This record gives sequence, C-alpha cells and structure tokens, in this order.
Amino acid sequence: MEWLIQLRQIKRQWIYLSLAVLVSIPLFFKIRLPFFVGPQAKGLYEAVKDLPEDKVVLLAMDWGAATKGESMWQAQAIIEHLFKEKKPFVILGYDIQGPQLSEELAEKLAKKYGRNYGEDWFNVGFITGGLPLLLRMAKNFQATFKQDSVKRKPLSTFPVARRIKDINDIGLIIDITGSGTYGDWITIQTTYKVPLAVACTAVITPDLYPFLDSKQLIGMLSGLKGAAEYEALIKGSHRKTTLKMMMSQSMAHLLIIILIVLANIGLYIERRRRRSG
Amino acid sequence: MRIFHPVKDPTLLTVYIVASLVGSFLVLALMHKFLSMRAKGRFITALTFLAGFFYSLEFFLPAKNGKNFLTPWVEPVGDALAVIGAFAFPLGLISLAVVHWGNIRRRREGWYFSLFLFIAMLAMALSAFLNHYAHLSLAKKIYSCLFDGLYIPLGVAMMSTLAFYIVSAAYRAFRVTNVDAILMMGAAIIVMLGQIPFGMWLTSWLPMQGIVSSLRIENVSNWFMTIVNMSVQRAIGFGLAVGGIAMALRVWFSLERGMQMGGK
Repeated sequence: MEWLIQLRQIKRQWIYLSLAVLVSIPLFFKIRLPFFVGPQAKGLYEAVKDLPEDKVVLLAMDWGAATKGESMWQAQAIIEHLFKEKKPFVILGYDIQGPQLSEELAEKLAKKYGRNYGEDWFNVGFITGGLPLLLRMAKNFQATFKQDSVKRKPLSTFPVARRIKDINDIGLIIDITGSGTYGDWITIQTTYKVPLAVACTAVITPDLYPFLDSKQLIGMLSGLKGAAEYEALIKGSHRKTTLKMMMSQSMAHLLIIILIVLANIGLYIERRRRRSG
Repeated sequence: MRIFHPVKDPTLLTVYIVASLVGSFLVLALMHKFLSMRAKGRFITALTFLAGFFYSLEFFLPAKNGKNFLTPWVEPVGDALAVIGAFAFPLGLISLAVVHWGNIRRRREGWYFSLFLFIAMLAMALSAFLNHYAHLSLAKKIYSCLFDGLYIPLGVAMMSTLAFYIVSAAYRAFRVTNVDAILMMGAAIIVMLGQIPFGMWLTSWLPMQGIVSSLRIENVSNWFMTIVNMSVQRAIGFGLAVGGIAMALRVWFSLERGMQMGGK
C-alpha cells in the first residue's frame, strides 16, 4: 500500500520524460483512431463555401510564434480552403509576426494552387490603432491603408484590393488569434453585421461560446483540434500531419488524466490510513 | 474628409514636418513653463474627455443614411489616433533604454543581460532597416537568421515549455477533496477526452444518430461547452462588461487616481 501513497510524489523529471516520450510516439508510429468534426468548424467551412462572388474575406492574423503550434495550422487550413474555392482575401493583423508568417504560408500554398499575389490575395501587414482604426477601415478601406506590406505599392495597384471600398465589400471576417483580440472584431460584427468567425487557441475557446450561441460568431476553430477538423473538411494537404499531431495531443491529455488519477488514489489511501491510524 | 491635404513637394513637406515639430515643442515648453500643475491636469482631463466624447457622440447621435454631422470626421480622427498611438513605440523604447543603460552604468547585478538587450536590439533593427531600405543581400541573410532562425524558434520554444509545466502543475495541484472538486474533475476529464481522438474512440461503438448518440463523448463534451460553460461565461461576460463600462466612464472623466497631474 505504501507504493500507492508514493504515487503522489512522482519526481517531475519522470513526468517530463514521460511526456516527451509519449508525445513523440505518434510521430514515429502510425496510430489510427476515429476523429469527428464538430459543428463549430462546419459553420466556418459552410460560411467560406457560401461566400458571395463579389465579396472578399478579411483574415485578421493576430497570432505570433508563441501560438504557432495551433494558429499556424489553422491559418494554413483556412488559406488553403480560400485558394481552393477561389475566394479572394486580405491579410492584416494586430500582431507584428502574424501577417508576415501568414504571408509565407500563403506564398507556399499559392504555388500549389496557381494563385497570384494581388489578384487572389494581398497583405496589408501589421496594423496599429485598435478599434478606431477598424472603424475607420470600415468606412473607407482604401484611405486607411495606403499600401500593402509585401510589394510596398499603393492598394490601387492590386485588382483584389480595388474591390474593397468599405466594410460592405467584406463578406466574411476570420480572426485567427492567440489572445483576446476578437473583442474588436465582435464590435465590428455587431455594428456592421458582417459574418465573423474566430480560429483561436484552445485555452480561450470557452470564452467564445456565448458569441456562438448569440450567432455573433458563425463558426469557430478551437486550437489544433479545430485545425485538424478543418483540414478533414477541406481534404487539405496537411490533414495527415494535423491528425498525427492530434494523436500526440491525445497522449499528453491521457498522461495528465492518468497522473491526476494516480495522485488522488495516493491521497485517498493516505487519508484512509490517517483516519484508521 | 481630410483635415489637411497631402503635400507632394518634398521640400514643402520637410518644412511642414520641421515646423510642426518646432511648433509642438514650443507649445509644450510654454505650457510647461507657464501653466500650474493644476491647470495642466485640467488640460489633460479636458483632452481626454473630448477624445472619448467624439466617438460616443458619433455613435449616439441620430443618423440619416448611417451618417450624422460627425461621421465624416471619423477618418481624420482615426488617423490622428493612429499617429498618437505610434508614439507609444519610441516612448517604450526610450523607457527601456534608460532603465537598462542605468543597469550597465551602475554595474548592477545581471548588467550583462542589459548589454545583450542593446546588442540584440541594434542587430535586429539595423539588419531589418538595411534589408528593407537598402536591399543588401548580407542584411537579408542576417535578418533572416535573426528573425526566422532565432526569434521565431525562441518564441515557440518558450511556449512549448508550458506543456511540461502544465502537466506537472496539474499533477501537483488537482486534489479531489470534496463534492465540488469531484464534479469539476469529472467535467474536466469528459471535456478533455472529448477533444482528443482517444476519447472519441472510447465511445465510437455508440450510434452516430438517435438519442443514444448524445452519450458519445464528443457530444457530451460539446454539451458541457455549449450549455454549461456558455451560460457561465455569459454571466461572467455581463459582469465584466458592466465593470468595463464603469471603468471606462471613470477613465473618460479622469476620475481614476493618478490620472491627473499630482496623483489626485
């Protein structure tokens, strides 16, 4: 029975080693487990598919290297879907790194789908100014952003940019975020009734369910699971990779559950011993 | 609508920029010299009130075809706020430089970290500027090495250590000692299992349709998130929003302690 009580005192080095080994296993060995897509990811998928021909998608890349493990896969899946469906989009972001990292993703995928910068997408880059800037953008897009961030040319140079005069030309806003930047986009959605979806890290997903319920959000991707769901829906290039990573995440979750159970078994045995002794 | 018309002549533009800087400096210097602390505080309070008043009024005033008399001013005011917001960068930079230069000058403990900070800042800034404006291939290589090769992976690595910390902290902290804790732990385990393929596999033998399908772990997890969690988050959200409005009003009217000059 003593060994059960010792379960409460596993050294953290063993825990770290277990985590590292368990997370690595699915990367080397194929583990096939069922995977089902949730309604929130389907909502975003349908919104992109049903986007009117004359509208442009606005991708707010409010993520950086720190949340790359989740946000990059989400951004990749969404950009691939937009290229597949031939939906034009504009990239901008509150984070300095997001638009730049997304541009690399877009350029890689553009080669695969034969898409061209300026005709199928353009990048405004890092934006600053918060909600006042977004309100200004909603009224006059061309006057708010003088040039793009990639070629450093006026927006009028790019056919897809010329299509956007104000918020009425935006058919869907997708905020890919690792923090609370969705608040400003919720305000824009409420004011101008533009469809909005959020692809966020798993840790802030619980905060967004009220907005899904009130239909302020038409779809949501939650962390790496959301990215894997979206890749499955669009039959994307990285669906096998994201599924493999989901298996790794499964291992980590299982380890947490097992450790918590073991620690509480040890606690329970110890308490029983104290009461009887 | 525009407050000023764009100036294309570079000489005239330079004159305007220099004149604006000199004029602003003079006005600030005169205000600093001749206004009392109380008067400065009142001036800041008035400016703060006007800035907030503009957006509130523009939103609340009745609009015809979505516009009232303040709507054309949204663009230039937005431009002005973006420019003012950009001043936060050099302000932060100067503050950082002053603190760390002080560390180096006084050889405080860990002063070499401050030296590394300056070296890293200068290396990154110089390579980025040279890459962007001079298009030097060496600058591009250095920038790529520093940004793609160092900065991004370091950011990812920092966040990756969080996984180990979370597992260890969960093991040490989550103790089921009463009924509330049992309920919370049960809900947490169900939600966690509902997110991962292993959890979905556990109940994959249940049918996809029909009333029994609601016992599938992903559906139970979804129920927890969309019903239980959603209602609680909404309640918290309402509380935060009401608190946020109260706080915003206090900031708007400069009622917060320390917002006025002299800390009153």
